[in-house]
Amino acid sequence: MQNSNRRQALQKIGVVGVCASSYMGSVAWAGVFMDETQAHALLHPQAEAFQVLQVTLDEPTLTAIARSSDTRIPRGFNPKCWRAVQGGKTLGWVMSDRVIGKYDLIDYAAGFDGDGTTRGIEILAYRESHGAEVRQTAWRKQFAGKKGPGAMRFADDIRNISGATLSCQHVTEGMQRLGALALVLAGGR
Amino acid sequence: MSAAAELGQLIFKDPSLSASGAMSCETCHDPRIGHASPFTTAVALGGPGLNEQGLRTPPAINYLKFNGAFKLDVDGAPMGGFFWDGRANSLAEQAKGPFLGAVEMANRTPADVIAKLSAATYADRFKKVFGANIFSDAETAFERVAYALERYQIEDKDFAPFTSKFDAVNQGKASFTPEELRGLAWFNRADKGNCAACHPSTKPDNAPAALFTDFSYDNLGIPRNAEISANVDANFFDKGLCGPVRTDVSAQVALCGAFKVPSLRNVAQRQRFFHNGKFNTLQQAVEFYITRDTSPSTWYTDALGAVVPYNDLPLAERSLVNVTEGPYNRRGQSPALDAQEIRELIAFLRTLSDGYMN
Amino acid sequence: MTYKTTLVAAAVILACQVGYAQTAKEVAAEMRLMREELRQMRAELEGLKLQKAQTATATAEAPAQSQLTRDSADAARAEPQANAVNLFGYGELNFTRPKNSRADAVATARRAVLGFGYRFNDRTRFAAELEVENAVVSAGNKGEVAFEQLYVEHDVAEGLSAKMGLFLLPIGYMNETHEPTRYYGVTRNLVETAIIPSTWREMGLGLRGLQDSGLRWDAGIVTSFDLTKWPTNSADTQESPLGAIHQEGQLAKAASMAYYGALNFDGIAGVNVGASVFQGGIGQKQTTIASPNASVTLVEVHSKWQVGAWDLSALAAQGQFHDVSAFNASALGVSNPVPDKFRGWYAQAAYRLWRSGDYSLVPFTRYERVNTAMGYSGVFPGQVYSNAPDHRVLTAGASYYLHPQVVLKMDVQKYQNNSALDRFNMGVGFHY
Repeated sequence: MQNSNRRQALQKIGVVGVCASSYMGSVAWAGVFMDETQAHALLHPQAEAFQVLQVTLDEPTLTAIARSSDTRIPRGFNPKCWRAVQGGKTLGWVMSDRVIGKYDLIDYAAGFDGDGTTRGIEILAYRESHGAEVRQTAWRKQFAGKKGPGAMRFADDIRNISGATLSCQHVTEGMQRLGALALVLAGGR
Repeated sequence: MSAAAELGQLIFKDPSLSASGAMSCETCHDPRIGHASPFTTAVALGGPGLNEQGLRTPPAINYLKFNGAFKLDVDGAPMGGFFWDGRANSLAEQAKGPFLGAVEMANRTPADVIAKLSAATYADRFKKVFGANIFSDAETAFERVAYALERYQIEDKDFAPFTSKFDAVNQGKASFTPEELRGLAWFNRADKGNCAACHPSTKPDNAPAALFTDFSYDNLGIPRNAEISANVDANFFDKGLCGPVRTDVSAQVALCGAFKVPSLRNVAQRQRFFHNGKFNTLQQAVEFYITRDTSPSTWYTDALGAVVPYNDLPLAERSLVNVTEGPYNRRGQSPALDAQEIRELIAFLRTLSDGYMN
Repeated sequence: MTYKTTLVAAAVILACQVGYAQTAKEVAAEMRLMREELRQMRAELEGLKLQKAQTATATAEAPAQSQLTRDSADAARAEPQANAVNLFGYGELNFTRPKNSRADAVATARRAVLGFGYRFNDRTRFAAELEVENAVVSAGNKGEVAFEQLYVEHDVAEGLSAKMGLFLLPIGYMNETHEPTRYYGVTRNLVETAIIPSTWREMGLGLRGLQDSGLRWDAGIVTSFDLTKWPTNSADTQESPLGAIHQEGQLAKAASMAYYGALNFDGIAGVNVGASVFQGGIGQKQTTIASPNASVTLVEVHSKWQVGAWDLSALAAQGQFHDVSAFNASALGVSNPVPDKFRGWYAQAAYRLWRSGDYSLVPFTRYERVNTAMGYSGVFPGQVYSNAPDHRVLTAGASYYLHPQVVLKMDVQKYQNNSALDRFNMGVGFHY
């Protein structure tokens, strides 16, 4: 009885402590809002496991991605890819990438279905002063259901948020490249 | 013009506002000669009987809307201000002075002025513009009188016509004669007349053309004028910035003897030159600049034949006279301009009179 | 030991000594050989150690091979910008030709902003923007150099950050987002220059909360304006009343502070609506003026709707000066008293006519109405001052983007009730 009381008491203190620390500044969200594992779960909730996928980004592949997304491949473009599996079946993919917002990096993750359709996007880390509106659900929701870079054109299919234009633009272009890559993966299943 | 300016014009020309009933602003500031003094005597005669001498020549009041409040700039040099000693900070403040001057319009108080104004032909108009009850408070009404005069001087183009031959040449509508051109050169050259040092011939930022004054002050050591009755007292000295009329900066002894640099526009039309009206021809005024120190006997010989340079200042302050700027920095040397050059300079100064263009 | 034993021992030792002496050379040679061997063995041992280490690293790398993407990717991006100062900024150059006065045509390198930012850690960063106006700044030239922003930002909690320093206020659209590629027309619109004095920055503390629902709120306490700077008899006050008395963090009088609040909603893609309010003392408790308790309030509302190729926006702002009549009365009939109210609004429509890759062409039109002085208190009857004209301006033109961040602009402006101000403008702008 005493033990469980103490445990409960400790749990309560723990909860309060976590809340207090998150108010005073816990590390979990500070500029970095979630890690990749959390993003995986959000983007493919049904998947049981995420297998790391080796993707060879050779010249032809990069050129194809650049052309179909109509963007320039930034230096250091090297998205991480995971295959989302459930019961041995491939549900789709998750990729994580980073782009420059106005002048600093934005880490984000995108989820795709087996045919390359975008499931969603999560912002993992946002480090700048302006433009954090890309984190808002309303903006990110625009990507769901779009297949391929042609369906995610900035200022056409994906609306801008005034005051966050560079971030919106660069993240959209990033998503176009990942969407093009998803189609490549979908085609070569 | 605004309603206030039109009232100002009426007030400016209204002699009934004076104790004598015969002196208006216009009496000492004649529109035909750049609002300068038409008196052939050194100073004007005013007061209730129009027979009392002033202390200084009434200055020409054209082009003063480009002037500002009195201040000492970063180097401590005085700038701006209205009257010969800069004691008023605006046209309105200056306008109040002559109404109450004992030897001028000789009203004792603002109430005197307003009493006369409320009997003027335009009194109703005054009430319409400034409020039906304006005459109930003499101080406020007097403020409005000054304000109206200020607006008149700002808005009436006759106070800043820019219609001289100099302006015509600048606008490409006329050209200088060779004599005038040489005169302009002597005016500008630092080693010759160096007049432009205080009377700039270049356009300032706030005016459409050159004003020929930088609204600063200088101590020229003008000879004492025996015509002025105040000067009968050998211990009386009119020291400009440091007194006796102005009293707030008299502690700054370095300023003693300095008077405002007037605009040279319309200078050829003036009857008298400098603050004490010592000279009555432009020729004399220019020659004074050139030979003040090369031939002091010309200027400072008294009735007994003694030569006392800078005799309009107390002995201790004669060292304050400007002897470092040209052209009056030539003590012991030859004059900066010879007779021919002086003639040419004067020919140029004549081009500064308004009325050449329409 | 007995004496005998000692003698025998000594003899043996001696004999050995002698014996040793006799084979000393051999022993020395042996020693030399042994030393050589030892040296060789040491070298081998070192070699083996090195090999072991290499194989160790090799084996360490081998498992990494199977996760090539991860490690090389990490290596490629191992926090490259963590300790670098990041640069950003923009530039705009304009040409303006008044329609009725060719002599007043002006071409100027209107603005260049050098921005730099640095991230101290995930939660703390600073940003600064240095602006140079009109290219050249010197005693005889009219350019200007100024810090538009210089602040530290700290993420206090999830979705809540605080700025401390000199920063742009979140009022209207143009104030925070004024890169030349982000607005239509060569020159900034009148409402957001004359009524809202963009670029309007103050010093203080500002909080911003960003919610996932799309709601963004701002609130802060900052420096305010300085009424003692009101220039007498100057046309500047009709150009922009607040612009004439702003302090911009330059030895700002801080006896009276101001507070501001703003709300924006971006919850629907392509739509933004918002409003803000600013209220601050401007008398700065100065005993040299007759209105030490004067203050100003500014409110504005704005909305934007982007649908299809359309970009539609509208904004309205109104300012009000309080308690300035004593100041006006003491100013002895200046021709530009402090007004009671000033306000303006605009409506704008832009349409992306054509796009091909990075290129696009966007014609636009904007109608705006601005009055910088509506009503005066503390003036006396008969006082001469110019009532502010009611500017009504119709602007029409186009932006041609060579890239979303590089724009060529051209427009024509018609002032409905003062055609002397009609003009034609061209401009180049970019931001990086």
